[in-house]
Amino acid sequence: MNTFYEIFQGIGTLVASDFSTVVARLGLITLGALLIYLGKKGTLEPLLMIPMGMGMIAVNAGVLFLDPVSALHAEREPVAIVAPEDGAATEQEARTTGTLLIEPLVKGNDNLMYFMGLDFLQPIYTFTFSNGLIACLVFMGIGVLLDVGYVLARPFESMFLALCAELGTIVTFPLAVAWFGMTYGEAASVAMIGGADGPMVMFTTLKLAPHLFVPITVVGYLYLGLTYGGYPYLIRLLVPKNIRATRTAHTPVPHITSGEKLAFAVVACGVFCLLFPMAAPLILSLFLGVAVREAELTVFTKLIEQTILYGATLFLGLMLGVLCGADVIFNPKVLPLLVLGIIALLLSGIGGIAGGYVLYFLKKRKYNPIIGIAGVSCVPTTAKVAQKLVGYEAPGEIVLPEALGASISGVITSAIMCGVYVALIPIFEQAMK
Amino acid sequence: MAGRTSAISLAWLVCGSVAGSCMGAAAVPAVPHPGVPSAFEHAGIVYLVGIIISVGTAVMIKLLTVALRNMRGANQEQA
Repeated sequence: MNTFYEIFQGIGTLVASDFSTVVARLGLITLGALLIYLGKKGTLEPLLMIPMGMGMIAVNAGVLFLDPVSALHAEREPVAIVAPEDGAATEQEARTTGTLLIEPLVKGNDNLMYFMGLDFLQPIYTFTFSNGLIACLVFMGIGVLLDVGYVLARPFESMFLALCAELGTIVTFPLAVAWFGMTYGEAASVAMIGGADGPMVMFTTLKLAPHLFVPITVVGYLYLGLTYGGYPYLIRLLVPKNIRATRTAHTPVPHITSGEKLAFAVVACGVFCLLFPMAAPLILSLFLGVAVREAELTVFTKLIEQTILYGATLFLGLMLGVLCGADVIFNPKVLPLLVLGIIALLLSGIGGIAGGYVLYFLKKRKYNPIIGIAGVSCVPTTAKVAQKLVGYEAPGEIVLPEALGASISGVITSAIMCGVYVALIPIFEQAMK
Repeated sequence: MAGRTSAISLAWLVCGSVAGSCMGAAAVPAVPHPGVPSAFEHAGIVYLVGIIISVGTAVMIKLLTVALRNMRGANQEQA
């Protein structure tokens, strides 16, 4: 029988593992299949969920016994014991398991170099994921997709909604400290999930809580995938049907030239980099995308939009999937992260809708408060959610420009919050010592 | 209908306030010890700085677009 397990090591490692690991691995394989199904169905974002689901299945199914040299480089405690036929396992027979996909927790340059030559996704993880490059590439792609025209035409309205929708980013921070005893860095990183911008979550975590990079990023992206499916329920809960059908009074929007948009990108990039040098890579990436679009550099626009953005999204999804090994489930910080992540997104959604209500009353009931949900960034998902629900209740009503304005402002305010957290948290921690 | 809508909105505001207060009360242990700012106060500082910069950004956008529009107008007049 042992020969069978040696040949088919995916099954062999399952048999040799303890019960909780078996349940976790099988559960994650099922979850991976579910993500693919929901992605195909359109309930969740397919561009992210399908590679992520595939990665989850592969990393939890394709576990093998590491050879002694690899086990030494992995620096892990033996987790699986291959019992001989007589049932008595010895210390020598305890073996370490792993995959040939990725070793995210590897420490030390020698060990890292060893796994760079062994695991096929290790180079992508080390050179693009763990240093935040992939976050910047995705952000560059988002920048190319953004039309900042409405934000420039109605800056106060858009920024107001975006600021309201940062409620989760702010309130989750003290809750994480109070409820789960997290450090300021950990609390700020998980609170950034409320900003609903994956790259920002990754970046903040890398700067403030690198030891939680894998679980926070995985939890963050899983929840961001849920916004498209979950926020409509929140809207229906908070906005009565008759208000959902409110027709917004559309005042003429002044024409904004591409020169004006380019000037905004240049000035905003300079000012934000001056204020938050720690977040300069993200800020530069976002506004470089906007600048390339508005300078009408068609070749660069196509390159960033079609190749860099989609390439980065594919590998981001795949990487998130292969990081969802059973060991992530057993991290004691994951449960608090799951709770806090959903609270952050929920509060941000409530904040955005509350902002929409304020404008609804200020504009004498001629503004649909659903637009407020678009302040929760996540371009363009939340804007599409707002348009879909408004269009359903008030056929023919178009609120997409207003919603996209709020959504784009959400990206900007999330970048600001990320910069503020990254700059202030070390100062707070220093002051508390 | 408008009265009913306002009543529902008011109810939500009240519910939100109650929920917020409960969460705040639950988070009281966030105060480390007297004299040291709590995590809530620090979050307040973060939000305040965020608001100032965001409003500053909105003002900057407004000034920038007005300035660029005036420049364009002046150029057109010259032409």
